[in-house]
Amino acid sequence: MRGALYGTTAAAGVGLLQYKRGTAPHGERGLLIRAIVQACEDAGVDPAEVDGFCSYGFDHNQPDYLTAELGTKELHFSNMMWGAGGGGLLGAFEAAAMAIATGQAEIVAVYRSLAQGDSGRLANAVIAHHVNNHSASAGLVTPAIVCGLRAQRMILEHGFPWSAIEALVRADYYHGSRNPDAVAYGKPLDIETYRAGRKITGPLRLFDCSRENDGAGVVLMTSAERARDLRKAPVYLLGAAQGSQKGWGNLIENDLDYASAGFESVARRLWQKTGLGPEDIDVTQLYENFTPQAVATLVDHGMTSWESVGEDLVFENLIAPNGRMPLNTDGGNLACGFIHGINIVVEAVRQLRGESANPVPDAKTCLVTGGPGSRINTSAVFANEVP
Amino acid sequence: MQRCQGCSHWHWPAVSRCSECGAWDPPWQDVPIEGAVFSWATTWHPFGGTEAIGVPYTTVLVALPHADNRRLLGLWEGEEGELSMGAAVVGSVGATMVGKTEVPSLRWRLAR
Ligand SMILES: [Zn+2]
Repeated sequence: MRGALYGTTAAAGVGLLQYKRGTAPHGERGLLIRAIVQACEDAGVDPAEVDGFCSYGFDHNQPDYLTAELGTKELHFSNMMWGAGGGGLLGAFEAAAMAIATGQAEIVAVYRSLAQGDSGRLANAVIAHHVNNHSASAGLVTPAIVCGLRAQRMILEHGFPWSAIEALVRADYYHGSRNPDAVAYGKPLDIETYRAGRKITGPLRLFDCSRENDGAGVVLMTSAERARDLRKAPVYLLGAAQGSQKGWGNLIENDLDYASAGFESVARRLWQKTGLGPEDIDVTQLYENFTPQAVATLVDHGMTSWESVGEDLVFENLIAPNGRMPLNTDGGNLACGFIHGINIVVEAVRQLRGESANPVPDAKTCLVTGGPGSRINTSAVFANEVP
Repeated sequence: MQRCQGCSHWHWPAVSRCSECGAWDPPWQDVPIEGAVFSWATTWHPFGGTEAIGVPYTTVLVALPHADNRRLLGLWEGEEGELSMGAAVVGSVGATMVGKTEVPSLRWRLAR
């Protein structure tokens, strides 16, 4: 039995603006308004018709700040996804789909906007949310160190080869260096540079860490029916899932299944809701806050296993057009840009429309996963047809 | 550490209600500060808030067998090379400056 939202809504337009950190010509709101208008032009709808707004990850740009400039005729739905940081990414899409499928709103913009100096860094927001005195007294002051501690346990418990991490980084930079929208466009990363990256925390070196840049990303969601009448081919949301299993949450590093990314229940329900499995996925867009967490995300979703990570995660398997499990075809958070993950959903839509800079031939389905290791995790499957 | 009066379940972080049996305000019980290394991370980058500790420093996560392996964080007092999964360690209570506040912190070293 598939989920009630299966194929009922679709992405109809995307907008993405990216700048190097600290160089955006507008503030967050200015960036966001432009990205929404871009997404509306992409879809062929009037920005004034957008009647719903969903975001996540502590975005500060509430819809009431946007409506005056968009000319919003009527505002019908406003929603902020709980869950620290980028973990909530696909939960915002699930909320948008629920609103549309139940008639609360017709066209919903799902977005994230980020400009250095406006709302501050996501890490700081996550810190405010997560760090308590017991953590801070042990020097655990930022998500990077939490992820370093967890990555170290993944190494101890699963003994996976670091070659898998290197393959992921190489695939990101391979795709990013070929994507004109990417921060790493024209700048491939050789593996020696990766290995020489300075140590940050635990097993993480510089190039294992996502680094925020300025920008805004928007995906315009509407009903599948309406999307079919708009400018671009619809990219259907087959399903999304959010949450966590028992023994996972605000537990000061006492989470059960600690050496995972925490997607066990989310992934299981995602496959149930979509009637699909890992073998049905043609391309994947992974949220990488830190590289080991991205590998754990793939394991949690059954795309590989800890035992076979070394065989599956090799560079040739991960790249478009011919890899067996192509991923992060825009360069991902590491090499395309990091606007708290919204870029990876934009890429999912572009990839399924055939607009990606690194097209995967005949790709029909795309798995998209939110910030791994979050206390509330989310993931989704998009497709260019409803199987 | 907190241990439920109704079902003996150990709780950390602290709770006002036992998740397993619904009892309110589980009482605290003394537990020896000793355990087994669960994970660790040495931090090299000087993140804000670590000024008083100074890089590099090693954060260690220790499972306490006397509290059903609930895990506590702390700072490692030895060399990073001494650490291995499951290594027996003992802790003492120290203090760390977090911003302008002095916070009690656990310091761990190898048990002998
Ligand atoms: Zn109890």
